[in-house]
Amino acid sequence: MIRAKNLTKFYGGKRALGPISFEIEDGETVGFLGLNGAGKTTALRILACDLRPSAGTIQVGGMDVLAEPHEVRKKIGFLPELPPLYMDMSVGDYLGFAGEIRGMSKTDVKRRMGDVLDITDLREVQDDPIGTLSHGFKQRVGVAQAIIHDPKFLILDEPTRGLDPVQIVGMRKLIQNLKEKHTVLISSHILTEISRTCDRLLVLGRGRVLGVGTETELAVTESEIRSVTVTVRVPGGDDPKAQIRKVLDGVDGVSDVGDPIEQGGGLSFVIKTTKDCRADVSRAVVTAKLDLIKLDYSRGELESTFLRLVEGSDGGN
Amino acid sequence: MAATSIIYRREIGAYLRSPFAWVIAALVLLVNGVVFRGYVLPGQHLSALVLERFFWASSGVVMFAGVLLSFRLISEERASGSMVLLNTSPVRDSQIVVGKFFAALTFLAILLALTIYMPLLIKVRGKITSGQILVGYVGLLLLGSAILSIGIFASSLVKNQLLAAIIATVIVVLLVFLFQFAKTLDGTAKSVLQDLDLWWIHFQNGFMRGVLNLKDLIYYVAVIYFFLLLSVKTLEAKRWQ
Amino acid sequence: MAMRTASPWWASLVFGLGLTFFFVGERLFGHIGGARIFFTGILGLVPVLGVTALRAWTTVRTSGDRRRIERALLLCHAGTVVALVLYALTTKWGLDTLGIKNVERWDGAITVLYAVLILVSVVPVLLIEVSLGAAMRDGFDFSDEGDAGVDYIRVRDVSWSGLSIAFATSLLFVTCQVAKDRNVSRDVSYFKTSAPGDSGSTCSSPRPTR
Repeated sequence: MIRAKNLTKFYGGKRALGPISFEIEDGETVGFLGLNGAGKTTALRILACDLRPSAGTIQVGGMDVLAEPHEVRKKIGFLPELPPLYMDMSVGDYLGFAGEIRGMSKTDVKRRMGDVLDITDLREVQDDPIGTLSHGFKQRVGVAQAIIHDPKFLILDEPTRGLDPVQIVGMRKLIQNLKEKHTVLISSHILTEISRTCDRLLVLGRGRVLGVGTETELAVTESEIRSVTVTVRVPGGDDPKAQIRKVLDGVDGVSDVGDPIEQGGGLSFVIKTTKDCRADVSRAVVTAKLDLIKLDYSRGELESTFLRLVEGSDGGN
Repeated sequence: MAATSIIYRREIGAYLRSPFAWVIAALVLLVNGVVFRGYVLPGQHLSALVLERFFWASSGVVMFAGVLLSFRLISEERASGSMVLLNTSPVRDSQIVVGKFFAALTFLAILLALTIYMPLLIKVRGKITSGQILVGYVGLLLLGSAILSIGIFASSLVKNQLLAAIIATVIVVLLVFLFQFAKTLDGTAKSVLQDLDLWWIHFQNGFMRGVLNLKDLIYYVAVIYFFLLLSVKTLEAKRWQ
Repeated sequence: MAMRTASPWWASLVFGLGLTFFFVGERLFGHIGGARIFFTGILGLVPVLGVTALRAWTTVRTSGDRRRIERALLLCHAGTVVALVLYALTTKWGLDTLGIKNVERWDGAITVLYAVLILVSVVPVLLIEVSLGAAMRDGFDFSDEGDAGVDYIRVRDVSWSGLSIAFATSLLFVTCQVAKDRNVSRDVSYFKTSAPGDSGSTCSSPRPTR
């Protein structure tokens, strides 16, 4: 478990973070969201023992970060915004160094190396100098050094920064795999990535916590109109659009049904809801003997929650 | 201890893989050789004095090489972001500094070893003792170590490598010319500042002439310890930024 | 706006300037009575003692982390004052002022002691002030509106670093002095260790070779 209490950081006279308090349970994947300068990187650097806090206490796995930094560092793998790579070393040599410097023996490193190279898909480049690799591969090497010593906690600061769409998908898959064995903290600007990968969100703004919880909890807390996209296969009959609209209008919690667009072999409707009624919508569609193709939050859901939280904090200031 | 040796091995590997280090090595040997041929050898001198002149010239080259080999050690890591790996590992700042110092010292020692042919050339046709050669090289190694420690300290202060090189050079020049400045003073201040001089008192009057003084040995060890300590404290302070 | 420390940043600067003028007065104007009094006394001692008293006042007036920082600075200033008293014991005017007769045989030890004490007192102050900076430290602030921004843990770390640097410097200095006084020397050069050969005797003989 990670427990932060009244965590604060000043740079000279300027408050960069805090006081903030939060808890992260073992096995969770938590996303740190916030605009530039919100304090995300500062918070993650403090958790990773790369930066000392001005005030407050942080415990990682029951150990205090200031009192036992070496023990905490053994349990943490950190990927900063700029991966800490030695361009002159080969991938294999670098990972060996990263493992040994974290206290692993040469034998343990050798044993672990194969798994790490497979997880991060670096086997084909293990003998190549890091300086010759593409940005995507360098990010993977950065992730590899964070997991080589099999830490309990993984801290990834903007892991998809600068990656192309294919590389982003690859990185997302990698993070999904890592979630199974590690407690993961991710910071990102890309709300869709956070939304897809994280169990819980921590929204920061001007160094303060603006909201903590699942996407659902954050939206409900803000009493926002919810937005769901439902795609239904075009039914037979005279007016399929009206047919589907009637079914959706009848679901409890639906306040508005938008105009349909043809998409993915069916008709997609964006419906506004006042509560989480995805289950009710799917039940209604199936009961009406319609074929449900897709049902999900609209992409703008988290974005509007985030913007509302952040703009609210700006207005307050 | 383990972490120090891991860092030491990585840095030695970096020196051997780095074209920059090989260029410095080539330059050092070239300049040393040219000065040996053009300044040290010519003229009619006793061979022991020729050896002194060799160490005199080599000390300048060693100071130059020491700054070049050390100014990047920490500032480059900070600029490239690789320092974060060390900062977030269970490694003490003292282990980082000592590991890097010994790696630089090893490379410098190899460079010095490669210059041995010059005193041997003097010994073939002249009358010099092996003891004087050994003492001279011990002096060069200690002087070089002191310069390396100053370079590491300068490197720990700033991220910009050029600035680190300039700071290191300024400190070295100040310490070398402290003797000349002290001559203008009198009393305790003169005595104190003269004893702090990096070259005139402890190298020129001692090692260069084949005289092994305990005070010179202790002085250089003290300078090395002092600047490495400052480097460690600087790294500790940077963890707050 | 709340200040980050109880006293302003320029207090240590005034203290440092006072200390500098004290030694300028002693070293450069020690033989000129009036100038000595002006530099050592008015420009030197007055700011040093004044800032020390100011720190004592700010330490008492404030609380929490701000008080801890003021106390650390006060201890350093007090150490400097004690060092100046020790220095006075090595001067005629100091002995006369303090009414002490004979400390000549302790002169060396007192000199070392005051030099070490000055170093151990000044270096931590320097590092504390560098780490705190000047931002939000323009004036006095004894309020108790939380200690946020005080960064006490950093100041504590930095002051311990300063102490260890100062002690290490003192120890190294003393060690070098002792090594100089009790030096052991071994001359392995040719002129000392080899029997004179032909070329050696040719060069060392005052008579021309025939």
